[in-house]
Amino acid sequence: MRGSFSFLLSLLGLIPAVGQVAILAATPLLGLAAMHLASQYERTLYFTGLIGLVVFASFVLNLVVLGQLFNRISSPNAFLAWGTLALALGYAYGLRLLLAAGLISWLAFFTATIVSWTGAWWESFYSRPECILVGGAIMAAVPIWLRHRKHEDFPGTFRLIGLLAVFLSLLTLWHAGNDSFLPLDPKSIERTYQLVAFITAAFTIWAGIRHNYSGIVNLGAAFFTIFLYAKFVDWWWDWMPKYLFFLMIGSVAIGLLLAFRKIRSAIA
Amino acid sequence: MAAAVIVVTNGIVLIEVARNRAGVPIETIQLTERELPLNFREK
Repeated sequence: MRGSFSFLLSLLGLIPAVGQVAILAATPLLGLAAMHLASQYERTLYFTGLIGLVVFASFVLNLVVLGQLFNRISSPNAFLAWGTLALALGYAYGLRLLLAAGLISWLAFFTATIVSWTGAWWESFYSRPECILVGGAIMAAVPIWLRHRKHEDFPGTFRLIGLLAVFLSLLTLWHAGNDSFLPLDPKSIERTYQLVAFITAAFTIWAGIRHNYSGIVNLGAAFFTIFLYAKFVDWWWDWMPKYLFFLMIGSVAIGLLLAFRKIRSAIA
Repeated sequence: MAAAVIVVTNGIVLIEVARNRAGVPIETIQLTERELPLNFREK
């Protein structure tokens, strides 16, 4: 992949700068035209979605290569532009994959911008999981006040991406109290976030059952299990005989399976 | 909308590039073969 990218870049270097810029900007625009054409000849929008992904990728390449050509300092604003394009395409054609790409890009922009305000270099935004956590929580809450009458399946994507961001941030903060903004002892921060992780996972399962969102119940259950196993490792791995540890893990897994079967029947 | 995003973003980047390259350079550096040898290979 990297080799083919370097090869294309070296070929591009043989063309004058004006031609290079024209090719870079024209590629996503041509893709857009192809996307529009494809959408008029198919009902399922399968090929339209594929071309949409190519348009998104070529726009990412457009800005990255422009930055390299003219030696521009990298900026989180590129994520804003990529996200805007992906969301525009997602809403125009009702494509969930592009919506997800747009939401992830905007989450990266949101997090990187806040991290850059603290004085850190924006590219280290992943080292401040609390910013991702806040962005994910906002994203998961968007469908509460933003109704999607035309695209009824979009709120699910908002919730999925938002909650994934929240859970992954909590999992990172599980053992990384030093990465927190809170002015507390790192160990206390880790314990607090471990408690928050369990409460959030349980609340997600409860909210999913209440509103009949099976995907959200599964996500909450998956992360509840991950958090539980992480805690078991913290508690038992160092001193417990390994056969006993895996016996406990297996017993808990069977217990969880039975509990989740009850939850699934409650949803059905 | 999507086309506008692509055109406007490229426009902003190119305006920034033009502004960056306008005027007299504040400082110039002359590189010789000592810094950039002909048989340079990235390690």
